[in-house]
Amino acid sequence: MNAELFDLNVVKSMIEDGKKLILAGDEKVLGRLPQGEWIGGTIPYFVSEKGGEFSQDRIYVTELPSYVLGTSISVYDEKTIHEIYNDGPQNGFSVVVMPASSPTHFVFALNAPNFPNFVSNPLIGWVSGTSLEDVGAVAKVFDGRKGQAFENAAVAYHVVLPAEKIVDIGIINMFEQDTGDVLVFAEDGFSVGDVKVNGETVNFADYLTSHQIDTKLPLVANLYGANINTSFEKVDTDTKRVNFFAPVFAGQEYHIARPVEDYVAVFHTHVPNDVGDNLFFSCNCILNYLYAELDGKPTGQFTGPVTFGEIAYQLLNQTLAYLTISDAEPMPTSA
Amino acid sequence: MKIPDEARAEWKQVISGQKVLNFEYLATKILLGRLTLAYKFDASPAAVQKSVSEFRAFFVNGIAQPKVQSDLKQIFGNEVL
Repeated sequence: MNAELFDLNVVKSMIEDGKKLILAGDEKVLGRLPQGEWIGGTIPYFVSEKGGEFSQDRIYVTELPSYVLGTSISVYDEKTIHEIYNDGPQNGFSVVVMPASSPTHFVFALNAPNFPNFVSNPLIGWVSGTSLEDVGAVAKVFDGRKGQAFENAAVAYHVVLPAEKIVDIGIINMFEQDTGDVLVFAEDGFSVGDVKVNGETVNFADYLTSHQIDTKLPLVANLYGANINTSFEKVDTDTKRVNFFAPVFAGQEYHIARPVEDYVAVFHTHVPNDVGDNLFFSCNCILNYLYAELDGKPTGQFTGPVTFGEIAYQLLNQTLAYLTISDAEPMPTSA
Repeated sequence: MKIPDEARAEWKQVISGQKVLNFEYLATKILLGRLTLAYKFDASPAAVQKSVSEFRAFFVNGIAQPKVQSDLKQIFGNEVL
C-alpha cells in the first residue's frame, strides 16, 4: 500500500510534483497545502504501522498508482450526491469523503441504496471529523484543485484503471449478531422511538435501558453474510428517542452485536487471506479506535484515517473498509 | 460469460429469498440486502420485474470482476461459463 503519514512539507512537495493524492489530516495542515490534484478530509486520528495515533501536524497520504488511465474530481452536495454511482468509472473506482453531520452526509446515508446504479461501480470512502476535544469544530472536506474547503459537500476522486486491473472492496467487522431478540424498525432514520422486538412494539430507549444493553455494541444486520453495523449515538430516556451514527432501515432485521473481548486479537483472525500486497486504501472507525483503545496497537497493513463513518458502497459504522487493486489472471491460451 | 435473461426464474428466487446462496462479492450482498427488503414490502409483478432488471444489470456491468462471475455461477451453475 503506497500510503502513510507524512509531514506537511513532504506533502507540499508531493503535490508540487503533480502527484494525485487522497489526504486525511487536521484542518490546520490541510488548509496550508498548495492547489493540486488532491482531495482531502479533516481528521486528526490515524492508524499507522505503529497503531492508532493522534496528530494535528501530519497528513495521511494515499497516492494513486502511476498506472491509472484517467482521473476526475467531483464535488457533490445534498442535491447532487445521487449522481455519485453514475459518475464512477466502469473499470476503476471512486473514493469519496464527506463531512460528518452535514446535509450531504445525511442524504447519502439515508438514500444511497436507492440512488441510480447503486453499487454498480466500486465506491469507498469515509466521513471526515474533528478532534473530540475540539468542541465546536466542524468537519470539512477539500477539493485540492481549487484549494477549497467545504462544510457541506462530498468530494470524490474517480479513478479509471487499465482493463487488466481488478478492484475489490471488503470490510472487516469484528461484530456479529448475538443470538437474542430480533429488532425491526418501522421507518428509515437516524433516530427512532419504537422498535418491534420479536414482533412486539416497545419503546427502544426503554428496551435498551431495561435490558442493560451495552450501547458500545452496534446493531448488526446480516446481508447475505455481510455484517453491517449501525452504532448508537445517544439513548435519551427523557425524550424516549434513540439516535444512531448511521440510519436504520425499515423492515431490516437487526440484532445487538455479540461482545468482543480483545479487538486486536479478533481483528487478526478476521483479516482476509486474499489481500496480500494489493491493498490500496483502508480506513477504520473512530468508535473502534476509542472502544478498542487502538492507540499504539498495530493492525498490520490496514493503516489509514480513523473516521466518523466508513463508506463501502454505503455508509457503515464500527467497521474497517478497504479497497484492493490486483492483476487479472491471464486468460488461458489454447494449445 | 453468458448472463441469462430477465425471464429466468432464478433471479426472482434469489431476490425473494427463496434461494439463499453464499455470495462472495460485497456489492452483491449489499445490493441483495436491499432488493430482498424491497420484496418484503412489495412483491407485485411490477416491483419484482424492476428488481430483477436491476439485479441483472449489476451482473452485466460488473462481469469482469471474478467474484461477480463466481456469484453468477452460484445462481445459474455452469451454464453461464
